[in-house]
Amino acid sequence: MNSIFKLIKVVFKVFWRISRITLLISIVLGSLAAAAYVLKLDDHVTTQFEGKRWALPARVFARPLEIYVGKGLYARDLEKELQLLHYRKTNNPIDTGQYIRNGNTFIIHTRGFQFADDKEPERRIKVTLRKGRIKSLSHENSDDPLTLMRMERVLIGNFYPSHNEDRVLARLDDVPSLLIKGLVAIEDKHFYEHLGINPRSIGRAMVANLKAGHTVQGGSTLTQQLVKNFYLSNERSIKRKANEAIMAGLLELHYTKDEILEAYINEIYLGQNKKRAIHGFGLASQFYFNRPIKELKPEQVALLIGMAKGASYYNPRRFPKRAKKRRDLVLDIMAKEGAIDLAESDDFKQMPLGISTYAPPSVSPFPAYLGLVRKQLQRDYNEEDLRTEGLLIFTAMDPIVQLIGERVLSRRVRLLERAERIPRGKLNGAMVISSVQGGEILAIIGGRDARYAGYNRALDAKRQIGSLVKPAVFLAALEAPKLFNLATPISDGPVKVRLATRDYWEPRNYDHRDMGVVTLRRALVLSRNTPTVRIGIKLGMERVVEMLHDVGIHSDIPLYPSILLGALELSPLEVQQMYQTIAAGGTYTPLQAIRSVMNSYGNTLKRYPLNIKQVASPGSTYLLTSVMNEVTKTGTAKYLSKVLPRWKNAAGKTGTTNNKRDSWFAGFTGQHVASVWVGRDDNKPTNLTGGSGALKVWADLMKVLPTKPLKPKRPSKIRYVKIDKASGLLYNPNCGEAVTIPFLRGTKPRKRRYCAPKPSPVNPPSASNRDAKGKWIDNLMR
Amino acid sequence: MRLLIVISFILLGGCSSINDRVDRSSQPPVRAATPPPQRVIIRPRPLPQIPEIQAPKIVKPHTYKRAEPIRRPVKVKPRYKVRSKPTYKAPVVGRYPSGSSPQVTQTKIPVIKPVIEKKPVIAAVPKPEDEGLEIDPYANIPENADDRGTGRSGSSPAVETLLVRAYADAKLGRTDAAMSKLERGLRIEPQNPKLWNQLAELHYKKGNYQQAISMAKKAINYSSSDKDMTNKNWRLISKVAKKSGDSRAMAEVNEYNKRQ
Repeated sequence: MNSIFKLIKVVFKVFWRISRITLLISIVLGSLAAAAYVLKLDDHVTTQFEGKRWALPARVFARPLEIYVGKGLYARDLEKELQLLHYRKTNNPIDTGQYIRNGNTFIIHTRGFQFADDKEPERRIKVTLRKGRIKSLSHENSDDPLTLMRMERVLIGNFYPSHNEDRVLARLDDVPSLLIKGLVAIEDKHFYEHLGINPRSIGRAMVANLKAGHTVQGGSTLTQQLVKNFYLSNERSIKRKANEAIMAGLLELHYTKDEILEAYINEIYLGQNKKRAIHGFGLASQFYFNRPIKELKPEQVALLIGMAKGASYYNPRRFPKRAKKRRDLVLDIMAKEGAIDLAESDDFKQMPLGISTYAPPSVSPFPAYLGLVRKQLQRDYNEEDLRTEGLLIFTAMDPIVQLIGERVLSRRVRLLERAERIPRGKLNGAMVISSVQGGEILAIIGGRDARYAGYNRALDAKRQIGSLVKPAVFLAALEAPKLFNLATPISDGPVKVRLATRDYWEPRNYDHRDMGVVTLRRALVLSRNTPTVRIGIKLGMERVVEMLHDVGIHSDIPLYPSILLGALELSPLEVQQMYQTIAAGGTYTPLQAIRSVMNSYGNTLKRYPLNIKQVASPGSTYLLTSVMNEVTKTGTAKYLSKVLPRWKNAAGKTGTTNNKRDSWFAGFTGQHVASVWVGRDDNKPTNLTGGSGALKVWADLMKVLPTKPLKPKRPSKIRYVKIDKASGLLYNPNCGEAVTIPFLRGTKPRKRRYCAPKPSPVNPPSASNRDAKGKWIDNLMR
Repeated sequence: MRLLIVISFILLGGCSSINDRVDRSSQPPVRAATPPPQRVIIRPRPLPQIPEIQAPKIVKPHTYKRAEPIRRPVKVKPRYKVRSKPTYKAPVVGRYPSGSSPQVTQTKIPVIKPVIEKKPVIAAVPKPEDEGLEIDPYANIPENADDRGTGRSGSSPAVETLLVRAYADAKLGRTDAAMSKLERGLRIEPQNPKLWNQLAELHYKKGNYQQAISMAKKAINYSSSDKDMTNKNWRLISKVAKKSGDSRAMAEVNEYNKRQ
């Protein structure tokens, strides 16, 4: 008995020992595994929190509107700009982002901005406009002088990350303190005391949920919610709950409450706009109220806080009643917790939701310009960085010019289409507008429907340019002052160029007529073809093509003589580059859309400074400009002198291609260069010439665009000489008609026109009797 | 009892490994509200400063021959065929296909030469100093609807402000900021020689000699009546040309100095 007992005791002892060892080992291993797991989580928590937290879309901004006395600006355009910036019209603009308009006087409380060392403080300013110009500018509330200031930049588009999460990062300093207080009051009262998890509230929630039989209350702290959204998937399991708790604890160990709160404010999901997910209070305040987070009112703050519980369920645009109920509840709790006064909360509850009626479009309203920006950026950045690094891209886009251009183009193209009986919707057009000196693209219109992000004709439609090429040919000619000046006589007669044995090219004038001998100036003013061919052949095709490359056409140009009459396919943007160079006095500046790029921390990554390169002498460019100016007065574009006020002096050139397929006009004032193309996508004839189609669009644009007149500065080498209009010789007071035109010093004609001895043997010129003998001289040049 | 000690020992060990992490990281938060600027993640790929105009790839059509021989009809055996009566002395001669252009008449052509070219001119060579008028027809165009055509000179207050600020930035060594301000000024007054001159100076300071010369020339072009400004810019060009060894610019400077 005793031995049996002993045996059992031994066996038991052995078992005890074995199990004790196993237990020990398993505890050791278990805790090692647990430690390793926690360490792994810890690594996960810190690396993701400290690295790039979110893939931020790149934001593209327009130029800041400069305000100074003398600037061309109409009241309706200023108001439009303010609306694009989401300023609100009030009776008393005491807060930022508000303005008051009284006829032509505006009082604006600007928001100001700061990027790197580029700072513009917030101000209350008073602006008076008169006849399309700023007449006075001053501080509204002080006597400090104010000579110039800038409005903020209008956001014109985004490049979203591929998963379509969108957010506008808000710094804790920018967030209204009420939002923070309210958020803590509603979501996590003990946020500032607990260590990531709050056992008491979990217990309370469990009791409540058990009582109700389903989930009615969450016991998660803000930290846990952040962990859930930021690190974990959306599944519901014990394991995830455990992970959440551990990670919340770790997060609290590593970071301060403020950092956690800031991350929460930017992470939280607050709505959906088509494919785009709205994250964070910064974007939500723009999305729902069209205002920056700083300018939120208490009841708006309350609504956003309420929506944190379920953004789609409480969507104020779809379920306004439900959202209002939730907001009022939030206001009650905020009052109870002391975030707002009890009396105030009742006032706030009376307020309407104040949601902007339409969600801001998730695609940019300016797709054509954005396309250009993307094209320029792709040279310097890769696609992934563009979409995720939160780059701030500052462009030269001028929303005022862009909107005017869009309106003008679509209206005029519609009118032309009707007038020419072209099937509806078939006629289209494109336009590029840039600034004269900087070569900055202010606006780009890719078609009649500017909102449609489709085929961008301004960039991609390559069409024959016709006579638009002539200024380059003439510039090449004037660059050779020994061969050509503005008075050089050139035959307008038929011309025949031998291309190969028994292969001739016989270009004709547009009107199939022959004006006899014309001056070089007259040849361009009336856009004569055969003199242009003669000039080009005399210079040599190499020289002409070289000039075309110099003025900025980078594509390959074959050495065919037909190039001289524009058998060259270019996009409106390339045409723009050529006229840009002429407008800037012969200096080539690559056209550009982007001024600078910053990263999301506000450091400049790249600046695109002004770069110029003299490709044609100022003298010959001045001569050319004076002729192109004459084109708009007496030449193929004289329509302009009829419709534009006298002070809006301009220069330009029309272009028409075979069978009137393409109608072009490119020209410039003292401030703007613009190229217009009108034609059909299927390349069928339109029956429009440059003068009856594109020129009208251009004129419509310049009629309403605040611009400066063309006033080229005369280079010191240029002298004006009175010459005989018809012969191009020096003027003889005894006969003929005088015209004073510029010459490069030393190149003026040396011979004077001969006058017949009798005082008046020749009758006044008449347009039709060109064959009558004795009137040849008047017929030569008209 | 021993077991308990062992367990607690292990647990302590496990905990301490966590505490280590905690201690390490309970120092000042690693991530400040504004992260340090050096954490720039992307860098723009290097880009050539101005896209230089590439040498055009000229595809020479094998069929097209240079027109020189055609241009010299005299003496040389004419390569072209004159289909009708000889008409002009124009380098290239031809005619429209028959029937397409009935308006083209050439009856008057024989008359041209006798009157214009054969008849003697009255004043063959004018006095050499009479090179023409130094007028500026564009100067009187009004600036805007209100302007009465009074030519305003000097910078506007807005540009003056920018010039002062740019000057201050340049003195503080913030060249890029100064250049931004000058470019801002040029958007307001593109023909202001002071702005171009300042910009040229800054480019010179930065070592962009080609830009400095181009911009100084712009300044000269826009300061036709202002002798001081012109001289200042020529001095700058001469300085840049010496430094960069630009012989062409140097030659232009010498030519200018000779004329003075």
